[in-house]
Amino acid sequence: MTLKEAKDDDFDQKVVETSKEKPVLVDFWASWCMPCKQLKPTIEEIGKERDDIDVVKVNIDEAEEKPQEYGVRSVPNVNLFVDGEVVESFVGNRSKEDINEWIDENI
Amino acid sequence: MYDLVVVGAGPAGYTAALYAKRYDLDVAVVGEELGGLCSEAYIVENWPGTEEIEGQELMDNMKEQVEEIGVEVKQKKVEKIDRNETFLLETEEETLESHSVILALGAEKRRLEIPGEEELVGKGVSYCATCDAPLYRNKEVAVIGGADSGLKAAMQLAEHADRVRIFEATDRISAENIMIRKCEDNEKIEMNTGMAPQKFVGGEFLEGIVFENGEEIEVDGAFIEIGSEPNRSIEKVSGEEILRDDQGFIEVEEDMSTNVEGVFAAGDVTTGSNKLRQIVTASAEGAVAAYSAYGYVSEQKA
Repeated sequence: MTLKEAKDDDFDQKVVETSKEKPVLVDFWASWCMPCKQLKPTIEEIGKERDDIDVVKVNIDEAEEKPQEYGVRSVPNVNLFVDGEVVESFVGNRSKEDINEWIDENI
Repeated sequence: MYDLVVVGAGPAGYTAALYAKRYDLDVAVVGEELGGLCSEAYIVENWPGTEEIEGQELMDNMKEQVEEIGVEVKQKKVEKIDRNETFLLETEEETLESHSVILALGAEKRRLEIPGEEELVGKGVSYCATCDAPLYRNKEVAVIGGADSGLKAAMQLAEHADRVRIFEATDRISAENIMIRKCEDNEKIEMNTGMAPQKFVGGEFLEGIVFENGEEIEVDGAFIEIGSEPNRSIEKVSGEEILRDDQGFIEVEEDMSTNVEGVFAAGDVTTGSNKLRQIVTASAEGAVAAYSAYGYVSEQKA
């Protein structure tokens, strides 16, 4: 039930620190990217439906450092943070069912 | 119950819906990726009547146009199609019932299928220049493929990257002359022929490309533009196979009918239009398919 947005200055707190308490799903996206638009409603639904993780969206147009720090070379780029670190990531659009399974396997 | 369900939300699907609705059919469009491959197109300059338009904008326009006249557009994946007396199209959440079906499944970007490619997707290897070009500001990139889509990707990348090298496996660049001239005039872009990639090298990120002739280059990004292949997400209707040619294109008659009665096909997934596979040919096939579906549905209901 937690859907947030993060930028460079609050990424560490909203993602890295929070993930030490519970897993955080991060979606790096861009407005010019059609697959990002396709993925957006899915990510938002997951954020609303799951209590066991936080979901944070990062618009790479508004955040330059963090995408670079985490090696984002393609969008949409979905990363799962556990205990302060990225445990798994994927690129491109996927179905809600697939993403939920992917989260369950990795948390 | 619909008169027609169009599977696929690209130019063929939307145009089919536009025409079908004007014949008064009750129609829905169901697509996994709204806009399809076309929405990844950079600038479209060969859609008649429009000097230039971004692929995404063109597809948004098509979607709005059909929604405006009452077509339902659903972003869902059709998992399978069964037939009783009518067609049943199954998605994750619901099953749609329809008198007829148009398969406008489109195409998918072809992969090189060389070592390192799969491992480095998203870490330097990309299939969408529109999405990722801005992430390569001041970097060096390669475009694999010297046809229209490769040259377009190169133009787009040159807006951000410092250096863009196109590598074509055959001995000639085979794109529209106007695109070749644009690339020649762009000082950031180089075009190389006779260069077939053998493997991608890198660890955490892509570092370089090794070619079959033994040459090696260092790059930060590699954009794969070696054409597309027909989508195969629907192969059957209730166990009856939809006939495809040896390259996987759905075989259609001039009226866009397939071997399965009541199932039509349109766009990049078909053998139609001499496989030119353009937005304008996909749309044209969509229109023909809608007219044929209209004829079929009218007969069924009579």
